[in-house]
Amino acid sequence: MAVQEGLTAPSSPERTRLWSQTGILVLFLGPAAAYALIFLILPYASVFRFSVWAVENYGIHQELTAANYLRIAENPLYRAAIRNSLLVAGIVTTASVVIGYALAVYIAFFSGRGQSALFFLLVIPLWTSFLLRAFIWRMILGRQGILNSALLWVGVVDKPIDVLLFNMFSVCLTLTYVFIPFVALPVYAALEKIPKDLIEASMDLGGSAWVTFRRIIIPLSLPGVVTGAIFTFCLSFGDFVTPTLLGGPDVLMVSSVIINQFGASFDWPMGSALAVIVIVIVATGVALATQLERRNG
Amino acid sequence: MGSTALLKSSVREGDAIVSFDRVEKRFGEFVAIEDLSLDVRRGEFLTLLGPSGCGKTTTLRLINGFELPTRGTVAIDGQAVSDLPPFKRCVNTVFQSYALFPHLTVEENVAYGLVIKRLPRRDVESRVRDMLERVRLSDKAKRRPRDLSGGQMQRVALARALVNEPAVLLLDEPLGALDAKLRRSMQFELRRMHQDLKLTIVCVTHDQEEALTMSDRIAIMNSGELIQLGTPREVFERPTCRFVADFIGGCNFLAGSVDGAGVVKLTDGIAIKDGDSGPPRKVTIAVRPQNISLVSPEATPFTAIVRDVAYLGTMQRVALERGEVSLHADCPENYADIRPGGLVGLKFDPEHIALFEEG
Repeated sequence: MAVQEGLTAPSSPERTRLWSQTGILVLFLGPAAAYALIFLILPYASVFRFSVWAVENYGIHQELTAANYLRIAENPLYRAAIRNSLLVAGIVTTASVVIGYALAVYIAFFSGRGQSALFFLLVIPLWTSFLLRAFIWRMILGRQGILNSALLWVGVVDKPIDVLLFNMFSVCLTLTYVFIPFVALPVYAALEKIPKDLIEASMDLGGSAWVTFRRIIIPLSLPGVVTGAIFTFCLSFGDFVTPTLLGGPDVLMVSSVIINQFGASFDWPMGSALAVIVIVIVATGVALATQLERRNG
Repeated sequence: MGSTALLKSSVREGDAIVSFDRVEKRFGEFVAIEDLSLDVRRGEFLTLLGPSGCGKTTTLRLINGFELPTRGTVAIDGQAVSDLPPFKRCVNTVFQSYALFPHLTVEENVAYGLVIKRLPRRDVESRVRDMLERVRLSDKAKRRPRDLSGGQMQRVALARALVNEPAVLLLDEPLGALDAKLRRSMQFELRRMHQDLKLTIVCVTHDQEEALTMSDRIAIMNSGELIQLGTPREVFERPTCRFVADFIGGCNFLAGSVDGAGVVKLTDGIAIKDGDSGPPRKVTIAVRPQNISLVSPEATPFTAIVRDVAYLGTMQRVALERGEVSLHADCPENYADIRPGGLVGLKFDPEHIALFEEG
């Protein structure tokens, strides 16, 4: 009789244990799930919902329509903004990867005793505001800026030149400066992780420094490059501060247009549709980069 | 006599594939290798044996070029290699960690050395295929190193080095990361490859059993110095110093002296052996655990107290105490009853005793 009871009804300590397991799960995963819901899923859903509505008579008409997307496809201004953003993000990502990689290689392999000091110098700018770092380039590149003064003093030019500021060049230069650490840091981390004996093994098998760099070091640091490139591409594609401060009228980027839609134009659905396109482009970029990394790893 | 010695030395010189001539290596103040002269003969399996920090790995790295001598010369195949970088030396190394390239497949790892030498693709393919067959890993050709077991990785590392047909194959603690059973079978496999492929191998290890099993000759090193060089039998049976006797095979050491009549005595006056031809002096008497037999305490004045008995399967190891001195004796398992705390007599054949000068 006692045996049968023991078989059928779960004993009370067992029940307590089950409960406490559920409790622990809720305790640990609850906040994360809540965060994901409130700050990720709901905002994305909301942006998408607005993008398929439209503005009529100064009010948002809550009816399913593809009108915003069609307008984006037809309007050369929107297309130019997206194209500009893609171009800037492409140039900035390429330049940051090349310079950031070289810098990381230098710090990891050639800086000797100065390694930690250089690393520190690389990180320091990240402690100051992004806005400040962008603004400083206005002071460097402007008509009365440091660069023009220097050129005048040396005598290369006889009056200040205008080509330095308020164009694609100044935007790309500033963004590249800002994002170099975003590439150099993950690449440096990846380079540091490469076991020294792999490098020795390559040289032992007849690989010169260059062969070893190309066949061993670059492939093994690729995860760091991909991480840095994703950061740089996403953040420079969607940047608003730099084109506003240094872009001038020619460099219309998609983030400026979006802000305009939500502000002055009061066309939230249009702004949302543009935002959805930005999300799709960025997500595609990330997916491609991740794929590339996986195929190589 | 003089001419024989001359002949011998000239033969040895012609035979040497790697020679160290009065090599010294310092790292700052630290002397890693002190005045090393050593010839590796063509076709031999030479093991550098010693405790960690003895300079054996540095010696290996002087051959593959990752270290350069502070003084003296290293020559490979008669050519001084001091200004040859590692990638221009005709030697290949199996690293302790195997150092397989994680982003390449097994096949690509093995092909690495041939591909960067720009060999025709067909040659590369057939040589890689042959080598993988030889190490019995043909079915793993497309796998990544992370999918392999320790023993398989070891064989890939071996294949990757051997496919380049090196003049000397260098092994840096090649079996250190394997379990005991696999290690034993790899010892014989390396030995077999050495014979089949007529390789010259220089191997670094701290494991004396490994050194004895695989080597043609063993170079025993300690604190940067070459202590003794000889065949496994020579270094085991005729160690030239206390360090070698202790490091290879383990040994008991007793303080003693030789008197004017050539009788070897322990410090407490017990005679061990007579007929020594040397002058009267203080000596260290060395006897291996397996050469001590335990007898009844009445049968000999040389007695000790049993402190502990450990069962080792084929025999038992008896820890003994004789005053201040600890001794070990290995006896057959079925030996008469030995209990901790009991008194036993110790006997050994005078043939099996080695004498080392004090200091």
